[in-house]
Amino acid sequence: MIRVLAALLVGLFVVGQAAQAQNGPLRIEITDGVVEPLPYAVPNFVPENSASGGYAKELARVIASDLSGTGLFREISEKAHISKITNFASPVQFADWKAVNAQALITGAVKVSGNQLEVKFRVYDVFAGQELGNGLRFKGTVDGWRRMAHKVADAVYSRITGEGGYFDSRVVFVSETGPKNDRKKRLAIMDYDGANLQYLTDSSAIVLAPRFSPMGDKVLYTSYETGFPQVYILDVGSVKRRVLHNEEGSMSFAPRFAPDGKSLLLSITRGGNTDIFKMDIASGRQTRLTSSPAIDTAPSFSPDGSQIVFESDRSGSQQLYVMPANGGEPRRISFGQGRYGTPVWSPRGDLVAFTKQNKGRFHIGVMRTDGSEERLLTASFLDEGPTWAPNGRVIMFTRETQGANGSASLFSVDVSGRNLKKVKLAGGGSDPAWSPLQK
Amino acid sequence: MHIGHYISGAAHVGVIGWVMFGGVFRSDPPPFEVTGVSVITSEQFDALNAVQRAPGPETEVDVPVAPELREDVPEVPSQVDREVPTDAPDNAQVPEPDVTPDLSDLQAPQPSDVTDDAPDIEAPAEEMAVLIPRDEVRPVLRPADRVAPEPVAPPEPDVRIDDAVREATVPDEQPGEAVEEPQDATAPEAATTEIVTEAKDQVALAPKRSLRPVLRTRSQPKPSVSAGADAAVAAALAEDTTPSVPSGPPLSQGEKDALRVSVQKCWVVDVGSQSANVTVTVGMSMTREGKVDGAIKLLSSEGGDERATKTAYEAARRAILRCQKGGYNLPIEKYDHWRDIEITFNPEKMRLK
Amino acid sequence: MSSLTKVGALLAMLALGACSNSGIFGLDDTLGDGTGATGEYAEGSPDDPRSIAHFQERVGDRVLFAVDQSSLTSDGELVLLGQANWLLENSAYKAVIEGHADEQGTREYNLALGARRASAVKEYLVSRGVASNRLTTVSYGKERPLEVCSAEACYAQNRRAVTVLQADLNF
Repeated sequence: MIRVLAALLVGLFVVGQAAQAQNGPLRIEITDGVVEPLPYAVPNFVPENSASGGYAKELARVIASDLSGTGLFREISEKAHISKITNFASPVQFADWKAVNAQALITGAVKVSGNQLEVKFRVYDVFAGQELGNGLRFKGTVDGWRRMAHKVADAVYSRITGEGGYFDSRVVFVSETGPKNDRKKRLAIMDYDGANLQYLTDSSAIVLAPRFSPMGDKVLYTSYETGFPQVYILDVGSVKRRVLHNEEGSMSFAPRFAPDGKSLLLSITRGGNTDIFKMDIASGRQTRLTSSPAIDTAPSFSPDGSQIVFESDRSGSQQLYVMPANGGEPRRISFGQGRYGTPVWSPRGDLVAFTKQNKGRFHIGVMRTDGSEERLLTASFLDEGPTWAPNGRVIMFTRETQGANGSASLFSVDVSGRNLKKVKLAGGGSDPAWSPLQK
Repeated sequence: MHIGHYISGAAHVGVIGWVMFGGVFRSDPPPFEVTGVSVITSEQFDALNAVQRAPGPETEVDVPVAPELREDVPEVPSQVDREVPTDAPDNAQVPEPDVTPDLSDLQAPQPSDVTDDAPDIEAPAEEMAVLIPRDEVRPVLRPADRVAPEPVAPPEPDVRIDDAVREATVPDEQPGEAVEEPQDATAPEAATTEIVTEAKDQVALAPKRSLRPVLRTRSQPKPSVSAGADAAVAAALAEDTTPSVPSGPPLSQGEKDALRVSVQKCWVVDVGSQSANVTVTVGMSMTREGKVDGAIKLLSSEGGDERATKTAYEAARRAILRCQKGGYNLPIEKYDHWRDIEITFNPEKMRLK
Repeated sequence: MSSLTKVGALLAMLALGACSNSGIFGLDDTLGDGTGATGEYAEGSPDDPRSIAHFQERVGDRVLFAVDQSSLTSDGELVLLGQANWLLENSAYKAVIEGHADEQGTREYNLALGARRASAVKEYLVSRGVASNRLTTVSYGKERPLEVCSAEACYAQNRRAVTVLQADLNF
């Protein structure tokens, strides 16, 4: 009886296996891919009237510069194109774009009416033979054409990577000229790609480490205007400024906006001791957040405003700590060799970027907010002061070269450590701070 | 005599001191603001600003543009695009015969064998090969743009990058093909097996990461990175041992590997993105020619939100469609075994590179 | 301010700037008029014990610090003792103590470090009897290096606290 049952079971098992092998799909798992820029094509946009001819090409060029500049995409040059896009509404010849190995195709059209510029575009997944998302149209003034291009590039980036873009953003930084021992510093603002540079202060006083407000309309920074470092707030539109902290016998620096934009964190030094304070912008009311005899500075809010990461040498050397936003017991998160400073919480909330100093070299690195999974992205004589792109994907920082003729420049690097490059800038620059994505 | 000098000197010092620091120590700030410094600089500043903002309209960009940018779906009918078959024969008659067929014809006979061999020639010791391409590929700052399962040495300077390795053709070598244009030689793009960041590059000078003290209890043992891969391999091996069925033997491990290798070559992983946390399994039916028949469906996913999952799925789909070319090289006599295929794309290993 | 005064003020600032940087120019070098050399020493020259030049050169207007440190060295204390005595004798002067750091540090940390160094000097001078309301501190962090090379020889000169004298008009 048992034998019969067993035989039956075995029989069932074999039949089951056979059926599965015959009808079941072939299964394979792939764990090794390639990390390489995705090839795309962005032919000149179609000019829909004669006035728009000049923009048709320039828009495509700025979009290509944005996309290729990420290191995630590689443009297939126009010379290689087989098809031309002459009509935005005509169907795309996918075979022609497959043949040149374009995985994504961006087509667009532009129309100028008086002062108004209208741009529309579509993004295609060439090998799937279908559109990614729907067509979009942007309208704006002719003067803002670069922003329109950035907006298109942001939308394309977002559709292909599944993440927010960062091209329609600005960077406030300290423009530097002159020799090392008499450097002239001015607050300056530019598009993220170095275009549209404007100065916000003159060079009569040293200015340091600006930060954007959450809306991107105001800037906090430190200036020696009174002869002593003090924290100022500046309106980007009107370039009007006012001192936020001007207390005799003390100095203030390292200001950072809270995520709600109504208060700020700053370091105040009294009698040689530096602590972190919170200040209400409207009333000027201060709340002390740290009270150790150590140097507590370079604070940064978590995006939800609930926590603050900062640096302190309370352990004997510069290290990173996290504390609740209203103060309270700090928890050390950096435990590696060397010194850690200038922590900046990522906009995604998952990482902290920092400057690390070890064995005579400087690094920009990232770690999780509990201090785990530390990764160093750069190494040089002097790298410091990371700032995050609004989508949390790219980090910009200051790199200073060695020696008597050393100078400071802005660099950027992908959070993976790839695509390290210098930001295009006429003169020297330091202390970059990235704006949020513009509305 | 001396007294006169003393007075004069003290007065000078006094004036100088007052000029330099007088304003600083006033308890009330207003007097300072009317010193020469402020007056001069605000003039300068205006002048400088005027220069900086010379192209008048530029400054106005910020204010007027923002509210006017509107997102909306254009009136252009979107269906038109979708209805179009992947190849539009009507329009393609003239240009296509010249160029496109060349590529597919040339690629078909050669690709997989040649491509796989290439790295072996350059880098016999695969484990160590990372170092070889790195130095040559990135003369300045950029690490090799491409990270691939197998390292590939950089090609000759005038060789075009292509998936298919191909010799350069010279027109008179093929007298029969009158229309054929000279072909550039191609080679697979140079690649390292891991991302070479600047910090890693200088590992001798700076340890890329340092040890944490052990006293913290939080560091629970993580599951082995390759556990998933191992399990998959084990599963694949187990499948292999299943009894053969009437329709013929199942695919050998080598045949499966060939398929895996040809798809993974086209799987581009964006390691810094959220989608690199997502494992997707897609399913598809195949034609006898080894091409995808119909749509590639997302069967399951793990590890990300909707958007990241969609991105991971699209990357997987691109990989399969882009590398199929004339059809995957699968044994036709075992068609029943690969009529339906499910491929899992697991980027876990990639993330850590 | 008349334009003449402005020019004078500018010249004076240049002179002081040169002094604080190099410490080798006497005031009379630039001001010139009415301060010729007479008697045992030129007025305002380093030989004049009541001159700023004397303070800068003979007493020593600066002390140096070890890497990432703000504690005074014994050499430093000796210099500061001289500064304290000079300030006690020359009560018509106030002083601003400038703290500096070398370039091997992050900007904001170095600001705080410079403040610590300036404060250490101030505390010492006060402990030697100088009234604390005559002393102000400021930090320049790594913004105003004295030496520009990227080597310890320069860094050592840049990790400093400088006592800059100013006449006290309210005296």
